[in-house]
Amino acid sequence: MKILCLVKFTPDVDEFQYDHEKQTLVRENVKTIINPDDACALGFALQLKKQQPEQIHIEVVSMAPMSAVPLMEEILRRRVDKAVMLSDRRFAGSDTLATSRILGAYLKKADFDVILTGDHSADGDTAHIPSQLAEYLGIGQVSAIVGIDKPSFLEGSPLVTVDNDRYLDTYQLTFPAILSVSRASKIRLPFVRFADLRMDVGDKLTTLDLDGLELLPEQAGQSGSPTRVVRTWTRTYQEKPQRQLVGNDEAGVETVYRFLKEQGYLP
Amino acid sequence: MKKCLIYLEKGYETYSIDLLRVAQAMYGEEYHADALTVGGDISKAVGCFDRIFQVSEEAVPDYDLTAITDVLEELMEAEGFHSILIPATYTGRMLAPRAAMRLETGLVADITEVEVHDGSVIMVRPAFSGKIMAGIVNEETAPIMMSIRPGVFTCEAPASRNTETITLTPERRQPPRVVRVARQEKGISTDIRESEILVSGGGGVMKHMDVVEALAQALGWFVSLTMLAFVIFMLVVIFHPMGNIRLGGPNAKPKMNYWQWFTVALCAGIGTGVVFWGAVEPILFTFEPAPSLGLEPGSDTAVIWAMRTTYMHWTLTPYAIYATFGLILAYVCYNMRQPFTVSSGLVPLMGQKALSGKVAAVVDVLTVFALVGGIAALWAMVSSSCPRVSRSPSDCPTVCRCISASPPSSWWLISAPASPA
Repeated sequence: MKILCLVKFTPDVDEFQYDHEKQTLVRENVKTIINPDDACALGFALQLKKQQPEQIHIEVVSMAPMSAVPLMEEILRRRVDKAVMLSDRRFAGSDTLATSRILGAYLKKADFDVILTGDHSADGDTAHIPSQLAEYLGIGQVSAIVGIDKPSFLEGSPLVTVDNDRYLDTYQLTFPAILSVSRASKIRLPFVRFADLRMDVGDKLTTLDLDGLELLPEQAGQSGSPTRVVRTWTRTYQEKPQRQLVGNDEAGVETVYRFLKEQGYLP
Repeated sequence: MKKCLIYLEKGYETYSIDLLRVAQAMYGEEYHADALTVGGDISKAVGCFDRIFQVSEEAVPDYDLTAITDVLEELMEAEGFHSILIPATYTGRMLAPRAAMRLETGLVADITEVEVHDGSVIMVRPAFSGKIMAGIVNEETAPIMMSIRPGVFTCEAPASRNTETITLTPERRQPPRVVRVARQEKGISTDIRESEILVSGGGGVMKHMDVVEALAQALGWFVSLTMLAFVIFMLVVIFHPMGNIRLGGPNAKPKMNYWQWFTVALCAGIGTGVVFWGAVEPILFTFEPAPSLGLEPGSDTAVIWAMRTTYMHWTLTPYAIYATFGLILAYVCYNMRQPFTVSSGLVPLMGQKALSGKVAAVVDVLTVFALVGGIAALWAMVSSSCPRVSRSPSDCPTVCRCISASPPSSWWLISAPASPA
């Protein structure tokens, strides 16, 4: 079985410090990590590979700058069979549509039974790519997976459990499909084994650029992106002035109750 | 006139209707509002939209996103909407990117604010886990598509419109690739602050939590009964002739008098706990009685139950438990001169065998495990209650340390006063 894992490298957003004096977010000196959701998806693939090393073939694909090569090598040392990096300066500034086009161009030709990836990225948090790729490839996709049934997965029609806020739903898919695994699945990415720490993995890593993917420059990067970020700002945390809405306790209880209900804190 | 399509999601109808507020922010009062729903309840939407396109759930299941995308595409081709708004719910956040890909248009996710500057729509969304906000435009492609965070916008008085309801019967192009096979309501678990007993299971039993839960249910009565057994045992020891045995040997002289001994044992034993929890528990349990009892918070029956529970936690019963354990160890260590380990407590039962090899290892390791587990449970309990009961969260660590220090120190101090002179 060929499992393809889509991975994004993101800054560790939990490490960001908020400068309360300047009211800005300090984004410097934060290490780049494998997106936590993607790590769960890769962790699941590696669990299967550990059980059946001969039958399972894992390929990791990522669109990332070349600076992410050491991180990709770390992934390969976890006994991943193949890694592909889609890297080109002309990809910079791609929005989700352009990113899906770039990844889709590779995936259309790639050989896989199933794509495992994360539910959403820690930085962008759009959760667009898995659904857009599923549409592009014409296959099924399910988000927010918290559990995958292994026997049915190995038979090619996985039963997956999804936490959709209100219910725990079980869906059945048929391969090929894209499974978006949430970090709530609590699947862990194993560490690199001590013996493999210095493993040479250069021969397993391939890099492709815009021309290698047979894309046109106007399909990728800023020119291929219909949406554009015009400005970003940090949320400022300020004290809100006190407001008095009602005069007595009776009405107060009712007002607070209605407010909480409106905001979705109460059922 | 601008044309806007809103996806009226089943189960989220009110949130979907509220998206009219976004259309209003973009176009003012003059715009054409349509809605598409798959199996949703349109009763509230009638009067808010110009047209409602309705697809029955028999024709298309509400989770078959490929089929819903087909419907959206056909509508888009026929109507040429200027914008498509989708609530950013679980389904909406999968449907929106699919539709955007099909329509080859830009999509902005999870919008929390919309601004209009010089005729261009700026969509505002949080990024980096909500740490920064980004303003995004879509100038090149049509329609403008966005998924909007539910509950952020409210449309209190939508313009009244004459609604035309149109039932669509889409032709299924292909069988669904995803099938929902089961749906389970998310259960509300018991609040651990109200639990008499905490049964924890590790990752190994994750799939069999129902078995663990049955055990926890079955153990409920066990706690009360065991606590009673300790009290009875202590009473027996007091009135039985063996109560005359002097700890530390027949000639031992106490270091402290009774009053000193009592105060030290009280302070180190349950003193810290009773000062904090003795006050907190009656209040906490009155206003949040265990859900399984079905008591009304604040009612008289809840008050009685709260007092009963507090008495069980903080009067003779905890003392009996500490004293039983302390007594056994004191006797074994000071009268029988055995080493200061918990496994020594088994010497009267098993002889010296208890101290060698596997038995001692198992008992002592289990003791450490139980201590760590007990402290961890206390941490969890204190940290879950603290924000409600103490004014500043910074009080919590001190309280936790005091309480978690009490189980080991209590038996030390109960046994200490009887040490040989």
